[in-house]
Formats: sequence, C-alpha cells, structure tokens
Amino acid sequence: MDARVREWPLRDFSRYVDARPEDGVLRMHLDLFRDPELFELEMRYIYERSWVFVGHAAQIPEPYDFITGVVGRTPIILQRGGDGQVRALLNHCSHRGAAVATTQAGNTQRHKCPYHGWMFDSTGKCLQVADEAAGGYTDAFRGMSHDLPQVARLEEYRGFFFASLNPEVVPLREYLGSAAVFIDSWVDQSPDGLEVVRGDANFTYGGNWKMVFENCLDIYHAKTLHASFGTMVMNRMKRQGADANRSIDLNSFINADAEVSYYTFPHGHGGMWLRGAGKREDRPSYAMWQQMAERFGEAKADMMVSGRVVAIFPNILLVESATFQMRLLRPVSVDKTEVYAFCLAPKGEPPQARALRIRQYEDFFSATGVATPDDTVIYERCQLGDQARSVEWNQGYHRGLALLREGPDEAARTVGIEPNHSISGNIGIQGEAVYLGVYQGWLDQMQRGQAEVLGVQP
Amino acid sequence: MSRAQLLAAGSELLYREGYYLDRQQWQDWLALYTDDCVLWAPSWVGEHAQITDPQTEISLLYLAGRGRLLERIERFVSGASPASVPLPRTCHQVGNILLLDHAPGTMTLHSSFRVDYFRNKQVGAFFGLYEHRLVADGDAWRIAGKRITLMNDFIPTVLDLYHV
Repeated sequence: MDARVREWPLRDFSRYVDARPEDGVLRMHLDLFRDPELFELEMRYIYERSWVFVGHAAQIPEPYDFITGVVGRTPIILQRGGDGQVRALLNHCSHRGAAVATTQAGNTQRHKCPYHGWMFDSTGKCLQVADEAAGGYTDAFRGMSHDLPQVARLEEYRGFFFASLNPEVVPLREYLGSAAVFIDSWVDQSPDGLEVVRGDANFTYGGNWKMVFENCLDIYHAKTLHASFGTMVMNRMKRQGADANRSIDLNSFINADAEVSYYTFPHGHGGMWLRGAGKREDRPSYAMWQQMAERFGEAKADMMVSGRVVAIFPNILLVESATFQMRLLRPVSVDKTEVYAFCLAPKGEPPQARALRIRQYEDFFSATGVATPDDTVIYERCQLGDQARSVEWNQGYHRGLALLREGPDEAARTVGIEPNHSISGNIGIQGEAVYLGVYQGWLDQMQRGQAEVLGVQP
Repeated sequence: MSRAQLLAAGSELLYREGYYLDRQQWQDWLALYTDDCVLWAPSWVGEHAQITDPQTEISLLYLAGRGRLLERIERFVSGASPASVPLPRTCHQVGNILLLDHAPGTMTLHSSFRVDYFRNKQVGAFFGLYEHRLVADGDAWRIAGKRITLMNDFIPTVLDLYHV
C-alpha cells in the first residue's frame, strides 16, 4: 500500500449507488464516471483485487506463445510454457524493472531484458544474472529469487483466462457463477470449442470504462443511436435482395413479437437474452444448429443461435447482437479506455458461414464499421455531459425496474441460469434495471477491497 | 501510353481522390470507382504482418462493390450518425507515387498517405500506404482496387472512409 492511499480517508462507497428498488429508485452518482480519485480506487480495489480477464487460450495455442496485458495497472505476460502450461508473469525485470516484453504478442523461449541482459525462461525462471560471477554480489542477493514473479492467481474457464493479484480471491468458477451458462452457450456451439479469427481491430475512446460495460447490456439505444445502421441494412436489402451479404435487421430488435430476459448475477455480472429478435437464419451459427440440438437439446441450441450478451465484471464483454464479439476492456484513466476486440467463432464452421460472420462483424462491431463508432462517440459525449458538477445523479437505470423479480424467470429455468434477479417480458422493456446487479457488484467489490487493503471492517 | 504518361495519369487520379474527399464532394469521389471495385484495409497480425485473406480473417475495411461505398456515404452525410456529426475537416497528402505494374488498360500504383483531421477542437492523423489498381474506362481511369495499409491501427474512436 502506498503512502498516498493511506492518507486518503475511508470512503463510504455506498453514497455512489442509490439502489432502492422497493422505492422504485435506481440511480448512480456521476462521480462514478468523472472522479479521478475514484478511478484510482477502482484500480486498487476492483482491478487489482478481483478476477480480471487476460486472454483466451486460442490466442496462445503453441508452446512459448505469449501475449502481453495488464491486471489493473500491473503489466503481465500471459505465456504458454514449453510444458504446455499457461502462466501469468509480471512483465517486470527483477533487476531494474524494465518490461521484458513489449510486443502485443509473440513466441519466445526466453525473455532477455535489453537493459542489463538478465534472462528469463518461458516459465519466468531467471536463467542468468548477467556477468554474475564478477559482480561482487552478496550472499543475501544470492538468496533472493530473481524470477519474474507469477501473478498470484491464474485460472481458466473453458479457454477464458482470468488473473488476480489477490491470493485470497474466490475460486473463478464461484466468481462466474451461473453467468457461465452464457459463456457455455458460445463454447458449446462446436464440439471443438472456439477460435479467434485472425486480425487486430482495437480501439480507444475518451470515456469511462463503465460506459462500454453498460452499453453492451443496453438495447434501448439501438433504435436511435444505430438508426443509420438500420437504414443502411434496409437499403441494402432493397437494392441487392435479402440474400446479399445478410445482416441482422436491428429493426427487429424492437419487434413486438420478440421477448427479452435480463439477469443480474453476484459479483457484478449481467446477462441479456433476446428471443425472436432478428432472423436466426441470418446468424452464421445457425448453420450448425442441428448438431447443437443433437448434443444439447433444442432449448440450449436455440439459445446458441439467439441474441445474447454477458458482461463479466469488470472487463470482459461477450456480445452477440447483430453479430458476435468479445471485448477486453483496459481502463487507462477515468476518461480513457482501451478496447481489445476479438472475433470469436466456433471451430469447424462452414466457410460460407464464416465469411458471413466476418462481414457482419466488420460491418457492425469494428471501430472502422458503422455501429461501434456511434457508440464510442456517444461515450465521449456522456463524458462531456457528466462534467455537469451541479448534477449528482443520472436517471438512466429505471427502465424495467417495476418488472424486477428475484430469482430466475421461466426462460432461465429452461437452460439452468440461476440469477439474483430477472427482468423479462416483451422486448420493448429494454430493461436498464439490470445495472442494479452491476453496481451492487461494484459496491461490494469496492467495500471489500477497501476493507482488505486498509485492514478495516467493511 | 508511355510509362511517364501512365504515371502522370495515375498520379492525377490519386491527387484527385484526395481533392474530392477533402472537399466533401462525395459523389465525385464515388464516380472515380468502378462498379465492382474493392476497397480493402487489411488488419495487422503482429508488428509487421497483415492478414492475407479477407474471407477468413478480419479486415479493418473490406468493401466489395461501389454500393458499399455509397451506403457508407449515405450514412455519414445523413446526420443520423453521431460519429460523423460534425464531419471532420480532413487533409489528404499523397506522395511517393510509383508505377508498380502496367498492362494494356490497367496499372498498379504504390503511394504513401497521411490524412490529418480536425474535429471538436481535436487534431489527429492516419497514415500508411496505398496500392491502387486502376483500369481504363474510355479516356479516363477508374479505381478498381484500393488497398490501404493503415500504419496506426489503434483506432481513436472513429475511422471512416474520409479518414483514409
């Protein structure tokens, strides 16, 4: 703990979350999005205490493959060793602190620090303190481990790697809870699991990290913010026929026949499941529906070709709206966020379906496409508007609050989802009250983190 | 046509493309392209490699057919897309133009580009390399293929056709 934090007074984080569903009130304080000190505390109490998503196994399939990343502010290397095991190492030379790897990805048996030549193997073991013999080192020094330290905890859930700097963190499986049913609904699309389609398309925006976290569970905005995408898709069908490079028709997201369920989970995760929105024949995954139904039954197979989102707190979003994307969030500062985007796809997908998936992905989800830039620009406008210092609370969490119920709804029971709360009904709900779970998770982690780091009672 | 004449005609077209984009003469810009044109900005894999197959790998832009360019224009001028309200002011600079290859009725040109832009009091720039495949259309030349190697691919919020 650094001195600066110790000097900070204890914060009562409950003052940022006004969650009184019984009174019909759900509000969040604007400081959540604009207070730089609160951002530092989020790094300390959430990102550096809890589980953080660091990468997918398909990014590092071969021995010695590695990617670089961060857990909170701590730079790491996620590397598959020669033994096939994946480790999360601090990207920090024990000697003078230089990051030993700087590329986003690579394959190497050894990391040599370019500063003074200390050398580490793919498991982090220090192979060489350069010119050690002539160095006049003390016995005390020789008694120290010079290895790249391992991140306290690294666990995998079906190819998704999460790391934590907190040795006491709850087991990952417990952390994910029943939100894992959503993850399964993509992993199980193919008996061989998921792959990452090659090609980087990452972006930044000038806004708080929680804005994109909220946005992925928000379909209220589709009708207005993505109106130009809807118009484009309609014109495309008119000009080129319905079969030309099919796109999911966003207008169907406000279709009266469609149903929606929102779920809150412990630890801040949120889920959304759309049924009957968009023609499922237009989803590339539909090409494999029959095999999915044979393996898992029709209810689960139907989920696997439906629109659905799971946001795993704090930094991984699995979003299948008009198309499917995984996003890894890296908060940089209170008003800047990096988003690493991945096109995940079932292995063994037929080539035509894959090509369709790729075109839909580029269309909708790329920062160079025709939907995501409208989102990112809006986060920046929210960041600007949130500077209104005479305003403390925003009201954007009330849709669907009157429909909030404890426990699973009927749809959840069919596939084994066990949420804290459900909001379900006609798609027109566009329920924002799902953020209750997100901010309850935020509050819980902030309070617990503060108590553990500062050694006080929560 | 001699090599020098081809290079002159091709360079003129590349300069003109920037001229139309920077003056927001979208229909004139679109008319430079053939009906079956392909505008392709491959993504990067690692520090110095790019994808090679847009059907199996992710592109930053893969727009096949002039209709795809038209729908992007329609969107960003509609006023319904906040990403393009206001449109940025842009300034294309194209240089290092080389005639890589030619045959009767077709030629391939290499060039480098930098596009500076200004929007909402902020400046930014995209830069990289172009490879244009031009085809003869009567007395004129049109763009049948434009490959954009975008060097700074960590996209700050928005990249649209006017940025490259």
